[in-house]
Amino acid sequence: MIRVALLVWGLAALVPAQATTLTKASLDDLIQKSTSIVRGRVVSFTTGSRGSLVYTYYKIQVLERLKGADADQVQVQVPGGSLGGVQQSIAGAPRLTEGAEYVFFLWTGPSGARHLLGLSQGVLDVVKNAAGDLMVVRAAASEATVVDSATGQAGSQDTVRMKLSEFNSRIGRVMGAVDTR
Amino acid sequence: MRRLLVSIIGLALTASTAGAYYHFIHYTGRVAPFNPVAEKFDLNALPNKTVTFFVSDTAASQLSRADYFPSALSAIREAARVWNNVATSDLRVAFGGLASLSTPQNTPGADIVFDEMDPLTLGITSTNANNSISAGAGGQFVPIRRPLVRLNRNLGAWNSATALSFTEAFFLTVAHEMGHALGLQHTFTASLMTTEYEGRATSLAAPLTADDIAGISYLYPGSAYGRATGSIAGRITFPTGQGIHMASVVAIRPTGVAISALTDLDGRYRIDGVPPGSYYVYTHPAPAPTRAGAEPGDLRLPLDADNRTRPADGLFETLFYRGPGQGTRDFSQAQNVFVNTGATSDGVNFTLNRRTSYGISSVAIYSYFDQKAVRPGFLNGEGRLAVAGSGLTSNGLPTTGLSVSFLGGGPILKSDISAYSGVYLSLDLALDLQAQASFGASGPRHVVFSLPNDLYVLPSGLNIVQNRPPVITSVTPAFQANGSRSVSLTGTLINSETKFYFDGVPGTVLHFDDATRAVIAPPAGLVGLRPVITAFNPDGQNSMFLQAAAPPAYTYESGDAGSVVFSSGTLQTGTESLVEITGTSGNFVEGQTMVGFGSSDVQVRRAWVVAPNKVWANVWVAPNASITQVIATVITGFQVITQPFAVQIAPLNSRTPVLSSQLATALSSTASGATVTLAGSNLGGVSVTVADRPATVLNTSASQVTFAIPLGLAAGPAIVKVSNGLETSSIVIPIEAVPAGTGGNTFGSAGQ
Repeated sequence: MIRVALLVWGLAALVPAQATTLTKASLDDLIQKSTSIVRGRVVSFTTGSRGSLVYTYYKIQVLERLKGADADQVQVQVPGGSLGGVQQSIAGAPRLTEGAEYVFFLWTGPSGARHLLGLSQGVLDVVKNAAGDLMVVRAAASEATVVDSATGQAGSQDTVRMKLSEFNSRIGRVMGAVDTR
Repeated sequence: MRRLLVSIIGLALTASTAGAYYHFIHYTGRVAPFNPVAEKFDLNALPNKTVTFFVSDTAASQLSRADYFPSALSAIREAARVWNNVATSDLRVAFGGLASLSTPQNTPGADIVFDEMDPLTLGITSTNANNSISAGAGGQFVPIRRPLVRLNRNLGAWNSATALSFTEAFFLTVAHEMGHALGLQHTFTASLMTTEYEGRATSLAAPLTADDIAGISYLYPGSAYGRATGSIAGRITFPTGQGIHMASVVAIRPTGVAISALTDLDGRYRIDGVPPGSYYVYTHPAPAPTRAGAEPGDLRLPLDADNRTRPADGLFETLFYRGPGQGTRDFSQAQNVFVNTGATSDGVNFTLNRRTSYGISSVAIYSYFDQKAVRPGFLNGEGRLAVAGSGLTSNGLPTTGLSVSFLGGGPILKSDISAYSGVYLSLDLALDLQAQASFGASGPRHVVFSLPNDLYVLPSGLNIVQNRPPVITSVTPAFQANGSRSVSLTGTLINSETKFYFDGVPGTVLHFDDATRAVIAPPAGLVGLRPVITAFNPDGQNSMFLQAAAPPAYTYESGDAGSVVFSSGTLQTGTESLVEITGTSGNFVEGQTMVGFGSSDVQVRRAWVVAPNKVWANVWVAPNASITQVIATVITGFQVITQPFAVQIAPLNSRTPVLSSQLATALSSTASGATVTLAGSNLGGVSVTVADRPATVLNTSASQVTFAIPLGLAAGPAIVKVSNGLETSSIVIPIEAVPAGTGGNTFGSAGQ
């Protein structure tokens, strides 16, 4: 075999390309398929690796439990991040800001690890409106609705900006009873 | 419709240097043309230019349903075949069975693992390319090292998420992720590599589109690439003259292919691999990210020469090309661009205004079969389809000014567009027979959604078909005359082009008794296994459209994977040699049985099933292979046999005659009587037998042996043994049939 490849130029950083296949989900899908939903603040984050894949582990201070019964602090693992000079950027994975407040749709797997449901889809921003109400916001870009392709039935309309209290009610309605939270 | 046919043929390749398609790009220049360099495998580092995918040996224990493991392996094998079969690509792709990820390997390859993921994430792939530029015969590239494909271990995620059968959804996802591992990014043309699963118009029957083929062929151009295609090139700018980075530009035929490219940092693009003909060309921004902070279109941003990611330029309008620098939202006013073979139609430039928000985005069309939603839409005569997407409705009604049309015509709206459930569009369609006469009676149609201030093109959003989906009405186990197992399937709209899958494993059509009854040889199975049978028709429809609630299945009443014995427990580095595999089950089938050796350093060049319980394989070991033990895998149908530590890789014995089957397969003939030359090392003074018959050695040297294949050998694989008195090596060569009238001894040898 004749090796013709020749290293002619290089940089130190390893920046692997990442690509992802995600199934799009409506807000109601996210509510149904999450094992817990919390409003929380990113306290800190660390990075680690499993095999060749880098993960970022966010520590979340839970401010409000909206579905399920998570602990006061939870750790969420998100694929991608920076570790030892390796920067892995995962398409579809969010970059969370330390100190910022979000609503998280969490999914806890059999291993006990908590994941964001649908990567970026599983995060809503939390902001205050002019009246001082807490609002949950999904970026306008993600407003697309989808047919519930499993059943062929039309789902309810995604809400992209609503008061936290309304969101709370929405969870209750989707889960069938308020006391499911 | 005003159709101006314009040919703008140029050879000014230097004017548009951005590569075609959507790849993982690294820029090496700091000024235009910036020199985009794509990530890809180094073909010279790959044995036989072949990338082999391996599945982690822990996969079976990771899957949510262990009984689906054979189906999953089969789907992975089929997905590798899809990329392997692209004739215009020089890259070959193989499935190598199971491997331990801890096994040290020095030859490039790719790995697949099943991992815990949330239910909405189906797969993640990393190319693991280092940001370093190499130069090869085809120009500069960034070498992909060892990609890792991670798949959701919960196989239920595919069923619940996609409304497709496990077979098709899993297969398409694996093929998509493999595309990433080979160097392809996302597209927006309904191809296999399209970002959103819901936006793809590919199926198990037709997994790749022209865009996928152009993309992989651009990275790994074979000798046939470019012979029958041309290119379209140009520049996309804002009115200020600033080039627009990462605009998607699509060349689309009214009822045919859609092939695309992204613009470079200077707004330049070139779409390669375009079949000759006339095309509409349109440009659009990458689809909205799922969330602020994510990248448009789920694209991985390119790196510039300073190792910084370079974002896409902001939103801009979507327009069809109407002439130099001009665009239109009305495709009937668009100017066609003509592509000639071997030439570039250059100067297809756009000047686009900025937008502040997306108008229409993320559109998918669904048709309904007994309340089951299927995408893309299928239209047979007439019907009602549902459309989901952003910007299509407002306040529970179709957005004011919205219109829907089809490039090239075909379907017509029977009534006004309506909305239902407040968020979906309902299209009541019928076929326009006059348009069908002009554009064909069936096939994909590109759907155009127009607003007064926006445009959205959904390539292949609708399939016009001539029939309903196939249905399997009965499954009857039977036996063939030779005692082997068969299954009689009756149904509607099945025919000789129908493919039948048992979960993820294809069955073999033995014959059709009549128009509605097929006799199938089921894949080798395991007692108690009950795979679902699905019929796939070439028009993209399958029996799960109508039978998902109660799909037909087949129960294996017997079947045992058994075990295997390998003729050699040791393979030496830098050699190619015969490994004989003897099984206890007697179910090996030519074309269905695969053998792998758990490392990209150890590859099966070719294998022959010489008896139901025996396989001969020519196994190549890299000269720099790690000295280690490897797993062996033998797969036939649902029967998966794995043998840990099956083979020890050992250093080359300096006395071993080393052979290569590659020369033999390149010969003009390997029939009885032919003179052949095999290359290798340590071949001076060797003796040769073919099929245990002495061969006349005509010449030897240290690096080759020339001999005559004994007369009277039947066509088929034969073992060649070469001995230097100290050691003996064996490989298999295919003996060809003696051509009529040649007498069997008039063939010349051939060199490399």
